[in-house]
Order: sequence, then C-alpha cells, then structure tokens
Amino acid sequence: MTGSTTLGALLSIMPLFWLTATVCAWIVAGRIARASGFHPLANPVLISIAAIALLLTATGTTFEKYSADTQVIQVLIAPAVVAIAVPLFRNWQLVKANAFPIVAAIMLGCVTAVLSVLALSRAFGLPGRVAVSLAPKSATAGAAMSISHSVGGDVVMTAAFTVATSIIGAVALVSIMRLLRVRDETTIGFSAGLCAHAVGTARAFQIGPVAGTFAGIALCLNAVLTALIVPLLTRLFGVP
Amino acid sequence: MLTGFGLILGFLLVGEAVSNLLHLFVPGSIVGLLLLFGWLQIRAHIDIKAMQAIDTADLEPFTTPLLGNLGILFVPPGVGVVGFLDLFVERGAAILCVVTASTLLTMIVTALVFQMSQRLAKRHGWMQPRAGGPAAAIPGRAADALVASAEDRSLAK
Repeated sequence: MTGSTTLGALLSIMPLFWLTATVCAWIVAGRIARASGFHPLANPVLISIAAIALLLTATGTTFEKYSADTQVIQVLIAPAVVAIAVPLFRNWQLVKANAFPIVAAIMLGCVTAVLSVLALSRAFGLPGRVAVSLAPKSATAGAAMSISHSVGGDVVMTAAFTVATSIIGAVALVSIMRLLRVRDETTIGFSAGLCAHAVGTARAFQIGPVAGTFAGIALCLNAVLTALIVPLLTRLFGVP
Repeated sequence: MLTGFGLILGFLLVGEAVSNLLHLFVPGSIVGLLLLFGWLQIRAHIDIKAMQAIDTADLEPFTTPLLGNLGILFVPPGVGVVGFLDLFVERGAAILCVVTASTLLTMIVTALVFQMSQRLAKRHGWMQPRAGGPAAAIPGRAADALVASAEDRSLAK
C-alpha cells in the first residue's frame, strides 16, 4: 500500500475533512489575495480550487466523494440568489437613476453572452447538449444550473463552466477595461457582474463600492434575463 | 441570523413552488428573489401594521455574511471544472476556448454599450438629477455590506 492510498482510506472515513479543507483553503486564499494587493491571478476562488484539486489528486479522492462531502456549502447557492434581493432593494434609487444604460447594456450583453456561446460551440463542432449546457454560463451558478436543467443541459457541466466563466471574467476584467480605456466604475462594475457574475462581482468590489454595487445589479438582472432568453435562443438555434 | 435564514428559505420555498406550479422557465431561486424584492418594496411604500413583519434588519445578519463570502459557494463546482477537463481532454480545451472567447466578447460589448448609453442619457437629461455622480447616490450601508464580500472581511480577519 502506498502512502497516498492509506491517507485516502483514512480520509474516506472522515466526512468532515473535505468541508474543513474547503473552508480553510478559502480563508488562506483570502489572505493571499490581500497580501498580493489583489493581483488578478491571486483570486481567492482560483487559489482555493487549485489547492483542493491538488489535494484530491494527492489523496486519490474522487470528485463525487468531494462533492458529496461539501453538499452543505453547495446547498447555500439557491438561498444566496434569493439574498441578492436585499442589496438590490437597498440600491434601488441608483438602479432607477441609471435605468437607461442598465436596460440597454443588459439586453445587448445578455444576448451577446448566449448567442456568442451557441455560435462558437457550433464553429468548434461541439455537440448540441454541450452548447445548451454552456448557454446560461453568464448567469450566476444557481440560476445557470436551473436554466440548464429546464432546457435539457448537463447540470454538472453547466456548474463547472459557469464557474470557469466567472473566474476568467474576473481575471481579465482590469486588462480589458484598460484596453477599452474605460475608467468609469459604474461601467466596469456592470460589465463584471453581467458576464462574470459572482467572482466578477467580488472583483468589482476590490475596485470600489460603486463598481461592486453595479456588478451586483447586473448579476441579478442577468440571472432573470438569461432565464428568459436561453430557452428562446436555444430553440431558434435548433439545438435540443 | 437564523431569522434571516428562515425568511430566505421561506421565500426560496415559495419561489420553487411558484416556478414548479406555473411551469416557469425562471428558476425558483430567481422567483424567490423577485418575491422578496417585491415584498420589501411594498413594505417600504405601504404603511400597514401587518406588513412590518419582514424587514431588512431581520434579513441582513444572514444575507450580509452569505453574500460577503459568495466565492466559497463556487469552490466545489469549480473543482468540478478540473474533473471535466480531465475527462474530455481535447473537448475540454475546445469548450474552454469557446467559454473564454464568449466571456471576453460579452465583457467588451457590455462595457461599450453601457458607456455609450450612459453618455447619451446624460446628454439628453434622462438621468435623475440626484444621480449626477453615481457615488453620491449610493446608500452607504448597502455598499459597505457588499464591500466586505470582496475582501472577505468576515472570514479573513
């Protein structure tokens, strides 16, 4: 018996281990992000995922086992979506004041997010089920998973690539905005929340409270609009 | 804190029920969000004693730390990404290309549309006067509540 299998066997009888490891990874990753002065690549979600993935490989643990042991964290995703009603209510005046840019950007941004992924999936020759699973990727994970389920997608794949989208968007945010010479916080925040939901919103708050608030608004509105648009566009595109 | 948790779960449950019974495309969590938002709006505008029950003061002890550590909820699904890349190595790379290209394109389109329409709105006076500078219109508490999120104050003290 090798060291890793003995350790794996030991861990398999301790169901609390993976929950503890995830929470610890999150706390340490938060400190690393802060110590690095919030460098784009020192993203707490990215660091935690890398650390856990390495630990799973090192101990020979399957993702199914890890996922089952961390259900208590994942169960909170749906309540977190409902909880967004509170900051939305608090910032309602700000939303009303910016109603026109918000409506214009949410419509075009949401359609771009869904259409581009369907078109690119076709261009790359990906099967229809994969395209449908990727379509809601710019809605926050809880919503994206429900949307994917309602149009016959693979919910686990949607969860995985929704999170990938969120991390990619959060990491690229500052570089893209520099490239576009955008300095306005409302614009940066709204773009981050619309295309990179949760991790993008967290990143926007590192830039400033205005950026963060607008990211939260975009995240919220995009979850609703994506739910309405995905069934429509996937049908138009002729994918099952 | 538990009052907030209970209330959120209640709205989620009603949202799930409405979504299932009416066969909506919108998931239950989003319906729950809209119902809770609607409830808070009605409560803020109509002064009925019976309506005083659910307040943001009851909700925030639960929602602030939850939204403040939003990222951790996405660690387990994120670890799943690694598994997916292993399973279909070649297809995983193609999927990742599609997702990356679409994400960057969406970000560029959103930023440009938002910026242009904001300028248009300002020029034509469509913005409400009190929001001349968006920073001025931000209610401090709400902004603070979510600022904690980015910097993980509640966990990384």
